Amino acid sequence: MTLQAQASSSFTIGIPSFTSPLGRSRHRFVVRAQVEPSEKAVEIMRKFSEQYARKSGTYFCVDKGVTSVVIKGLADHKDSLGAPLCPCRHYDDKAAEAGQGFWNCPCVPMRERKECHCMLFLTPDNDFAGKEQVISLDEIREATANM
Amino acid sequence: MAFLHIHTPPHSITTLSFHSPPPLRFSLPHSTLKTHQQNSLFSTTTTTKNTPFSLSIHPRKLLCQPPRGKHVREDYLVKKLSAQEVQELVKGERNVPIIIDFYATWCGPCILMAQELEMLAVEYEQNALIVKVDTDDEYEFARDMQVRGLPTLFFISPDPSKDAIRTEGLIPIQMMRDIIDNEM
Repeated sequence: MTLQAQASSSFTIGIPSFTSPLGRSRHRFVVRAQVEPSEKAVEIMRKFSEQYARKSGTYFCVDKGVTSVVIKGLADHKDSLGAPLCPCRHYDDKAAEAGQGFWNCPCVPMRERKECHCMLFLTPDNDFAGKEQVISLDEIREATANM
Repeated sequence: MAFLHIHTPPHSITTLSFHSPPPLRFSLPHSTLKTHQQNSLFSTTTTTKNTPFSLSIHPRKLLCQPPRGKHVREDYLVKKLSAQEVQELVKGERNVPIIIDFYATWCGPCILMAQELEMLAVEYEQNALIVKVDTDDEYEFARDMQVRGLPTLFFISPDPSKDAIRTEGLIPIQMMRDIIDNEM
């Protein structure tokens, strides 16, 4: 009886290590948003946003909080994926999308039709468009301080 | 009239001043600027009384009912739920429409949408249930629901025969009210 019990106990200990990890979570490398993007990436994306707004004749949102959040989102993707993937979309495979390039900022809809659903680059006729094409690092920090 | 204003506590004054845009949270810290402006206005009308506005030692005579502080809470009204909780909510019995907001941490329009949904939650109170799901946390759920652009809203009626309505991007609050009132 005791032998049987011992055998069964050793048997049950063996099982969990085989059954707990599902095949799915092993193969897919999930890319999640980090807590904060690096300062360097934020600065790069800030400069890019200013330059691209000037070049495309678009303006930042009246609410600079929106602009700040999107710039940080781009910086976060630049850090994790190497390319500034649009932060206002959900992707099945972020790394593949970053490699493919359609949604890398400036995305194709923006380049072709000046449509930025992130509200980062707004045409002057848009209700939310402000009058500025500049944003400072301090403004970004302040606006995203409580996130 | 002047006495009425003296005796009411400072935070009640801000509930009267519903200028647009209303603050995200109906709590004290954000509205202190407005109270300062209001205080100076009222103090000029009462030259005889020099007592401090809020910290009086003797008991005040309450001329009006103090505010119930219904919405002065630390948490937001719109709760963040996990995929499991949302699925249980949708499958379970209810008699109000559910609004599910799919968002991401660094999506700018999602922040504006969240503010609008908070306002909607205050308006509808118990007549609609508004919840939000972080698509970075609930990756599989967002994929199963075929969420692409953010923010995405799902309006699910309590009537199981009605189709759910899905909107993508920032939509005006009036459109949300119309959907809830007319379609749900």
